[in-house]
Amino acid sequence: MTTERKPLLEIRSLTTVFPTRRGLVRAVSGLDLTLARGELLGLVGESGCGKSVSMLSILRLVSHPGRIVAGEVLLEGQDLLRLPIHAMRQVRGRQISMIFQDPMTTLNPAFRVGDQIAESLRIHGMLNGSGSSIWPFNRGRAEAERKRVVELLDEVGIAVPWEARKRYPHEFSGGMQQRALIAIAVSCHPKILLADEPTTALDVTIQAQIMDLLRRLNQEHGTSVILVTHNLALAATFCQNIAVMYAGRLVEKGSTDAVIEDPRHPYTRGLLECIPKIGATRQPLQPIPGNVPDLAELPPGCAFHPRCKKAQDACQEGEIPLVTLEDGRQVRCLLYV
Amino acid sequence: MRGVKILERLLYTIPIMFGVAVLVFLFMRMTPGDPVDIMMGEAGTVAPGEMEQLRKEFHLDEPLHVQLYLFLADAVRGDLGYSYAYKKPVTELIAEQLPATIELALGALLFGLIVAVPIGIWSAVKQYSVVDRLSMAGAFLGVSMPAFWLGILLILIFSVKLRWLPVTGRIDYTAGLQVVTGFYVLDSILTGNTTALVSSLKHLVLPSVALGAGTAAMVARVLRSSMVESLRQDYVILARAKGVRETWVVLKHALRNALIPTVTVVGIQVGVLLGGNMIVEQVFSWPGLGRLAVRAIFSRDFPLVQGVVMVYALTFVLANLLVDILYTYINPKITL
Ligand SMILES: Nc1ncnc2c1ncn2[C@@H]1O[C@H](COP(=O)(O)OP(=O)(O)OP(=O)(O)O)[C@@H](O)[C@H]1O
Ligand SMILES: [Mg+2]
Repeated sequence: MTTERKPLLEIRSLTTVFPTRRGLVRAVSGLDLTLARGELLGLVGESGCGKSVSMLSILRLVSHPGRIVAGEVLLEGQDLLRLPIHAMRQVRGRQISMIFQDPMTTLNPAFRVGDQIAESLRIHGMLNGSGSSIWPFNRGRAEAERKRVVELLDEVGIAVPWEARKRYPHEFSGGMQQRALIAIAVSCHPKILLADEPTTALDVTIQAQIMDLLRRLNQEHGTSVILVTHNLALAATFCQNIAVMYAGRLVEKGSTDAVIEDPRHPYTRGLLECIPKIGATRQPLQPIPGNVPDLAELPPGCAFHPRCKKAQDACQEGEIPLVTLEDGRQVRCLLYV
Repeated sequence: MRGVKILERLLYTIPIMFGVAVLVFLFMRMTPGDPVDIMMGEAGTVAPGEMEQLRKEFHLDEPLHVQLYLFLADAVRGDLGYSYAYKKPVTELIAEQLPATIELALGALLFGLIVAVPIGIWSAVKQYSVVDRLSMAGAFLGVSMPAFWLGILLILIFSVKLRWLPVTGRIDYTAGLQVVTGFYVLDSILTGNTTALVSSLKHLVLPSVALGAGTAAMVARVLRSSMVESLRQDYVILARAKGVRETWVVLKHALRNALIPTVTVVGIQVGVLLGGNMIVEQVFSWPGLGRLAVRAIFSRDFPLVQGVVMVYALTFVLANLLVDILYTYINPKITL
């Protein structure tokens, strides 16, 4: 079957821009990224390199004035960017779900946590057929809905779930809020989970618990996960593969070991040199010289060339292709062309 | 639990009303002009003893603190005194006129909300569109236009020029309405009098618009800005990410949160509509509390002014209490 060989999700030259007073901000400019079934992919990059906008673009949730101007987002071969909006709604939360960075502001303060989970179930008809008892339809469905909500809260590790479902978000701790958001995200068994820095707002112990939870969902349900983070160490412990973004583009993607042990792109190398290694002899950290480019005025050619130690004249010209090396790794750098 | 808290809040209104009573009593005595002089001025020739007689009857010859004591002692028993001008108990006068005022306030509130809610939501969703700019300009006009001027304008256009709607009053007396509650629209329905229903509704339209325009403008502006604010929030993106239809994203997820600041303003407006209608009632000869108050002030009818002001104060306090109770339902973070 062709769909089996195809990646689950394939992003091709995705470009998302924000018209601003300073000019056209190219938050994502020609992103290529693939995600396989069951893959745990870490997406790393400096703050502002377009990770969140990429994830929002996949679901077509970029807020005004942002606009997706080019590219394809293929889910099992179907381009989401060309779907009519009602079909897109069937994808959101059902095929692809998202977990956001700040659980505090992401849950709706006006509704009970249980109702917010139940809403997802209802939208995607996850309870149809379960109301087929001798009770009137609604009663049976309400009962099934409650049961499922409690199950989900239990699954994400919230204690006393039948009480917790009646609570409002402000009565939850940050960790519990993030768990509730994960419960919403996984309620309809999506194929893909886009986790945008799911643990940044949480302390380290909670962070470990949340990551365990995501790993368990991946193993038990085969959910593919894109973990967005600027924490390379976190991505390295959690993910099979790592993708590195710079200025709205993919610069390198490969298996975690390969990328960490033997980074190929000069930017990836630079990133790794910035990370202190616990237990290693004290060496001065090597920050990457220069600054992140202004996304409204991207340098021509490779956006990294002004900061790159190995830059050649040719780096300033034309499109740098994404090449696949012998170990299956993808790199966008003239050194490997 | 909630019931106990509400009762507690109701008890708090007692000292507030007491304070209002004392204040209005003192303010009235400080305004220049003697009620008996004014009364006699209207009556024409007076026998000298007659004025003394009246002063004695109204206790105006007593020292101020005695007058205050007499007033408060009666008020506690629900007796607000006797109107000098109408020669009737104040409570009776208020009871007669209150339904008219409440009916008009409800009409104005209804008009205000019907106009403001869709406009506020629509303007927020289509921020900076032509619709938004036009309606916000309209709202600005609505807030700044004096109600009496709008009232006169409406009368000129719809009553005088187009002859669609009546100029003044609450109902056509030829409709033969049998008064039950004093709310004419309700009474028409209760007695099944269609002619009266049409007539009372027609009479209600223009004053409601004149009085409610300011409310509409106020509520539309607040609703718009709080909708703009909540549409920017992360939970709106979460709702979309769940696959919620855009209509429900706006009307459920965003509106529910935008209602929190809006309810406060609506609550204040209820007080304004009940207590700030003197001019509109005057323009439309609407026989309500506002008109009663104006007359009472001009004739220095102390007991009547005191009574009306206390009713106004009470409606403000109760409107606030209502808002606070509503709040606990809308905003889960707040308990009474
Ligand atoms: N509403 C907006 N208007 C203008 N520019 C925007 C807007 N939203 C995002 N951007 C731009 O898009 C770029 C990418 O933003 P994005 O939020 O995707 O970064 P990120 O990689 O997720 O960073 P972080 O790690 O800080 O979350 C930013 O440089 C920002 O300037
Ligand atoms: Mg981000």
